[in-house]
Amino acid sequence: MRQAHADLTRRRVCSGALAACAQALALAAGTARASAELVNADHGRIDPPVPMPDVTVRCADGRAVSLATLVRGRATAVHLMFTGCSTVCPIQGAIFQRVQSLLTDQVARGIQLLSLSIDPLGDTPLAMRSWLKRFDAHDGWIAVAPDPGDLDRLLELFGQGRNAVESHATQVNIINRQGELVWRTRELPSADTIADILRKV
Amino acid sequence: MHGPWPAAPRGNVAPRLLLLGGVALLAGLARAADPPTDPQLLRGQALFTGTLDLHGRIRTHLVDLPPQVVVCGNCHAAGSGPDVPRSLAPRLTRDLLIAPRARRGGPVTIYNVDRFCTLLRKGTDPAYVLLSVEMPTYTLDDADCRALWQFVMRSEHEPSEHEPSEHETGTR
Repeated sequence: MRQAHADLTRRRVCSGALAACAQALALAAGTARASAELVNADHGRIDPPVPMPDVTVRCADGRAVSLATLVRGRATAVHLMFTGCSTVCPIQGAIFQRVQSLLTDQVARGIQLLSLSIDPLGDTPLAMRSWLKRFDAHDGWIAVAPDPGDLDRLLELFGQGRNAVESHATQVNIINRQGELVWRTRELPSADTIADILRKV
Repeated sequence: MHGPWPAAPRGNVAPRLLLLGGVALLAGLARAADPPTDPQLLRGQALFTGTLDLHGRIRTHLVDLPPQVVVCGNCHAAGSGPDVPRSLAPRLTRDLLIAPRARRGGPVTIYNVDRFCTLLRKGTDPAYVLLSVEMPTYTLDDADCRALWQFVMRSEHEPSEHEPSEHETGTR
């Protein structure tokens, strides 16, 4: 009788331990999934680098282009914006404007600035052209809007999953010449910081 | 026996009270709608709305931003004025500034003109809690700072459809 009770206790302990292991494994798997989706929590090096997803974006000139094609072969700085934003987006635009003034040899060095709209329905090619004109953008600074169905995916990649236009991420994401996301800055980095990073990518 | 006060009016006083209430209400509405005429208020309004330039920068930057992107009214509504679409920045009202409040669970504080000026220049609230990085810091003299303070303190707070802000919720 005593032996049977001991066996029962052992089985319960073992099954409890197995359940705990299973829970831990499930939690670990969940955490791994979450980190893969959100690509780092805050700022700094993105390791391993993350290739651009297979999405098509609409450019300010009206063309529909693959995002991966658009960034391949250039060092690209990406910020999130929308043209109807009066609050932080004008500051982001002014920062990119100053980056262009600092990188006078930008085009020759294969460096590109990319304003990525998070309001694909509102940001028509005309609105994006007005945005670029407002900041006196010249060659090497483009604006694009994704298909609405791809927006969440891009917000996870570039915006830490923050999907409210009112509080969108203001970090700058750096893509290397192989078309991989490799760095994310802190919120509203200075133009000097962005230029420094782009020179080194 | 008569006291020092005028005799109480006879008859039903309700219509007179209604009339007085109506006059007071109209006077209040007129006051809220009237544009400021005081020179300091006008200057505060011009600085707030960007008619006059303010010089500001993000506090982690080494250079000022263009004046048109650091206009207070780009993010903040003031008094009972219209909301700024898609902005989470707090509506600046007398009530917001002088009522005791805590930012991000810090000490409860209230503003006065000097504390308001410190916030604008250094980006810290009266309890030395840093504001979010999106709020620029400004280079401005005492006269302009006081003009801005006078402008935002002028209007009474009126409820709006604006969502609770960083300042009100203490979330950032």
